[in-house]
Amino acid sequence: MAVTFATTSGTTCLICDTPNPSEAQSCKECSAPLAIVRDALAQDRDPNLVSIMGDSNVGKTVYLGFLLDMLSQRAHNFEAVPKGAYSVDLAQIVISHMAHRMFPPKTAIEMDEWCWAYYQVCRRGRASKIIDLVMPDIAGEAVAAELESPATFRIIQNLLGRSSGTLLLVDAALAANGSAQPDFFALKMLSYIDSMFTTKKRRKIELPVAVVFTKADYCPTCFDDPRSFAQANLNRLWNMCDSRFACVEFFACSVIGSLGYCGGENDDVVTSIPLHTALNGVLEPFEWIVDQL
Amino acid sequence: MDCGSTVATSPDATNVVHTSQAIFTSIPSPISRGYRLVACGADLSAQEKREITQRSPSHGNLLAVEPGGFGLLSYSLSSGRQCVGLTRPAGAEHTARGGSRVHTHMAILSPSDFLRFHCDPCRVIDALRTAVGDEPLLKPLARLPIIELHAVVPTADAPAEIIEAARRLLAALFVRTTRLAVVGIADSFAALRLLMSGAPLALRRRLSLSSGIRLSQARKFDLVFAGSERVSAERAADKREIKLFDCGSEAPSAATPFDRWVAFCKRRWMDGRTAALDRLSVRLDQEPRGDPLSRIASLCDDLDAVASASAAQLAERLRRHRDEPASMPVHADLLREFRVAAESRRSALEGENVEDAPRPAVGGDR
Repeated sequence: MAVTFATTSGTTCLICDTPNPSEAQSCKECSAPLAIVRDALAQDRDPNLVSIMGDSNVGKTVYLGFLLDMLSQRAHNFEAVPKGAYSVDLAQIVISHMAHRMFPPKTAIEMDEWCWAYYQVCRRGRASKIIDLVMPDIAGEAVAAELESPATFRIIQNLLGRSSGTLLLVDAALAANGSAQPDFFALKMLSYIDSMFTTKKRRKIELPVAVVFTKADYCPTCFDDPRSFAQANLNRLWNMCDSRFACVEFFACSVIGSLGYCGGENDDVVTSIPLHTALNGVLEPFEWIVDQL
Repeated sequence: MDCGSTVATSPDATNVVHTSQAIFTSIPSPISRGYRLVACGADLSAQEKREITQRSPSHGNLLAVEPGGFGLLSYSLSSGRQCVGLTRPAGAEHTARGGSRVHTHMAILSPSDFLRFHCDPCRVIDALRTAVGDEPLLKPLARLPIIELHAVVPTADAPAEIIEAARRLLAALFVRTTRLAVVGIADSFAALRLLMSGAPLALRRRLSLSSGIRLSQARKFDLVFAGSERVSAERAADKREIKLFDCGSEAPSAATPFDRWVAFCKRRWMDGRTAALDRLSVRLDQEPRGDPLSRIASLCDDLDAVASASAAQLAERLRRHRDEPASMPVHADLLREFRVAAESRRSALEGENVEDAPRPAVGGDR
């Protein structure tokens, strides 16, 4: 990954390399908070960028919010320190909404409304190295638009190009229900990554990819054996991973314990209400990614 | 497609325009969901679709979500065509997580078609609202047909505070070096309508703008009417090299070479002569410069006054414009018109046998 810069004349964005005025708060091109650059520079080591990709409504915001909150609460012996108040925003939004039995609002397609998190993560009680993790909460629509027509949201390409690892979220409930949409989306995503990292013939992509089946509480078999679940329900994705990716692992995850549904008499929109949370498999994919770094 | 060509047609050659259209919103389809370009005309290029996707608003970005509320956006695409969009609320978003669904219906106009609307996005929006009706289209269609838009001359009476806001804004637009985020205007569409009528054509053509849509860095518009949300606009403006322009409290700016033109526009708006001002401004197709605009404003004022001028006043006005060089064709036309009017007035004064009045020399020494 490229080293970040803060020059005397300004600050160069970590994500897109755009020069910005030294007093700027966010990048004028991609809206990434420039505090990340300044904080990273102070650490004197390259930060590791972990990107979280997935289709719209797959659960990226909820997953990332709970993941960051668990890290802050020292789950699995992790110690995570948010670098800057902006890093806490996403976890706060997700946890606060869930506490009020609401899903957080959709992430807007406008880049300047995305939440970014920058955490220093290490294992407690071990002589492990400290990892600087940068994780943006990207809108699924932006990912879809970029896959549909590359360079629509150049930030996606820049993020993936600089990522040390990727969490690819796939809607297990939809896949188990027979929908081909999650399989095709994941296939597109991996194909996009494959075309980005042009390698020699027969050489596989080294980027660690954790395929995370979200909403897995709808299909408990997914928890028993995520690999078999992928092979059976998302065969296109499975084959792509097998052919082109050297470092892939499959995980099942769920966040919601039970759901209620609400709809007005004259309202054709049904609102899902998260009645309680029951975290399962949230940290494991991240742990695996960290082990690969 | 007429991209980047020099427009040779007269602005009012016809009032019917057939143009391409596109819709950006969030509706589910068998292969896609979420905000995207759900339908568009067959002639839109991949690059145009990309640019439209980058600049279209998604949920939470329309400021007026009550029924009847709307926003607009206007910008030129790299192909040379102009995208003018009407943004409206369209019920609840199907996932129930996106709040009110934001629906943007866009007309994609060639430069010559945009000129038929005097390069005024407000006129395009008027036509688009009539053409597409009150109910936003919420079906995923493979292709949208060519749409027929009728360019009509709008009425633009506005209260004094809107006129004053438009005056300040026009002055700021001429000398701006950064993007402007405008807050503190009660009716931004009315202010924009006035503003456009006073903006020379060259300025209108290159101005990208939005009204009634939240300020977003991603859209990169030159002029954003950010509603009454001063705090959020201030935060965004502070961070992103965007100047916040509060029409309610903006301090008077220093004198600029454009002051005379701006004052002239204000008088026209106050007199209810916005349409006439618009017809004049749309002929100002050169890069705006203070001196020629001041001369044209002065000439228009004198042209108004000449019909009732005394012999002495007529002489003074004629002296003022005697050797005035024409900076552009419309200036030459106005000078010609002025000299004809002055000649006519002189004849009238002679007819009245005003013997003591000095005899002015019409048209200089010629």
